[in-house]
Amino acid sequence: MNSRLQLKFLKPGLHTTIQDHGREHFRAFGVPKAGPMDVASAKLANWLVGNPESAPLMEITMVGPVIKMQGQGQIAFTGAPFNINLNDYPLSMNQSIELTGQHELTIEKALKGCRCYMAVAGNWGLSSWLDSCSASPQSGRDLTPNSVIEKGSTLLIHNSEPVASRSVSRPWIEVSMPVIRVLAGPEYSTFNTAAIKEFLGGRFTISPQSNRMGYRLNSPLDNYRTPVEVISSGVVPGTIQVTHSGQLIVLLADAQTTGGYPRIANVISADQDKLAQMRPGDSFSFRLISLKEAYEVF
Amino acid sequence: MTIEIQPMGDRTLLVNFAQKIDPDIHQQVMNLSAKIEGELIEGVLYISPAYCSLSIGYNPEYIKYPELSLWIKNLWKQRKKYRKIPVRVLTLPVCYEEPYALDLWEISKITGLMPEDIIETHIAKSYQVYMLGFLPGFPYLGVLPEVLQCPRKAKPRLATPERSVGIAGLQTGIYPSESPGGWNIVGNTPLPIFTGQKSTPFLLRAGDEVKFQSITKNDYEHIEGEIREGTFNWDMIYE
Repeated sequence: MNSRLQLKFLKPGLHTTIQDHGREHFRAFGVPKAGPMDVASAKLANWLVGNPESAPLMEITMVGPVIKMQGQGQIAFTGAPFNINLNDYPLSMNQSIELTGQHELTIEKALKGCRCYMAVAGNWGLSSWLDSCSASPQSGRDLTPNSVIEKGSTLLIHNSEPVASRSVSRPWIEVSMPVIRVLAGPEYSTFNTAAIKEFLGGRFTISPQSNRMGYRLNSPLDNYRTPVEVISSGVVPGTIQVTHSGQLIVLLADAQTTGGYPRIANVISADQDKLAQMRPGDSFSFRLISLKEAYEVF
Repeated sequence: MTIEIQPMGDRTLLVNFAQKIDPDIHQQVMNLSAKIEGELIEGVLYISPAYCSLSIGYNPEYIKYPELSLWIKNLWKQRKKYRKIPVRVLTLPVCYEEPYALDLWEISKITGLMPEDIIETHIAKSYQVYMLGFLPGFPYLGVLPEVLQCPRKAKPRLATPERSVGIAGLQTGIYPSESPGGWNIVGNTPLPIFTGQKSTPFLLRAGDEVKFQSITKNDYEHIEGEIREGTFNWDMIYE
């Protein structure tokens, strides 16, 4: 068994990167975690093709790539629904798909949501940095040169033993006003009651200045008056910082490891996946829950 | 001294010490960090020290917050019995001349000190690495003598050159890679403090003691050449 699948990118898409388990073990050295924004969708994509759950895969954002595919292999798409065509034949999400021969794969725009994941069975053979081949937000081009997809990029994936065809039913659920569940952050109690009321009662919109490092939210907390001085301390994906002007920033997968703004709350893991599928312009509200409740949906 | 433990999300635990930038408090942070690391607790993914706090990542499928925080409290109670952790002492060569000392005149204007006094003050003491953050491998060193205290630049530089040594507030630090940044730059070290290499990706770690040594532009270029050729004697920077 020595077959392989070659991918040549005719168009890179808006922001297509390769992600795996990331670099969490190096946080003490100031290294961002990286890894997929929507972890559950990424794990599912890898499962559908029989890969380990945190194997490398492609994260596709808003507008997908056009890929010339050659060879033999098994692929799967999960996450936000995109229009995906193999030659002119539409492909379904959430199931494994067998390929042989030469094809043109066109991943168009996200119909809903923001990010989809493409898994390919087998070994991607990518160079890694600090045990991960995830695109590094800093010095990415030097350290992980093959993990940010550009026009002309190629990938050569050596097939693993194929698994029997797998599929899951995972309908995309649209919610008119999503609720993002949070736990109280380290500085939660230092905020005045009026600011907390705004935080828990308000609607927030994701601003265009948002990316894998974090989402900036529109409508600052008006009642946030006395900024607390915080000696730089750890922040993690999901941490919500409040800048001195009262703006909320939700840190995400590629965020830095330390910060000096007060941390009002932390988005629970399950809802970080939800946030990953929201776009600039989308609105949501926050709900405070207990750690026990968070573990129940972990 | 007491510690305060609290959750930071559903997979991180935060330990807060007395909230002060202080060498003794940081020593306690490093001691507890080493102790937890030595315990090899199943489910603990990483331990990341900062000035006066520790964040600990865990996998709730293996260990949950109540159990982990109890474990840490017990380790803290035994702190009198901790073995002393040896501190690495490094001397880093820094060129404080043109074209590296980008903001020496600016700092002179702010502090009222002459450039040679700024340099002398900067190299006169040793600093502790309080934490790495902001960029992979960026060391926050302290405490900077008060006479050198400068605010961050009103207009941050779009690209601070890699290996620039900067100051901000009561801290000094080194840019591991080129980056936008607001620190005032006093000089540049020829030593890569951050490489992509597998064996030693980072020259420094939290808890290290760092001294700066002023070198000429000629020395700088000489060391840079040795680094490039792989002939640099790394042993000479460690005490």
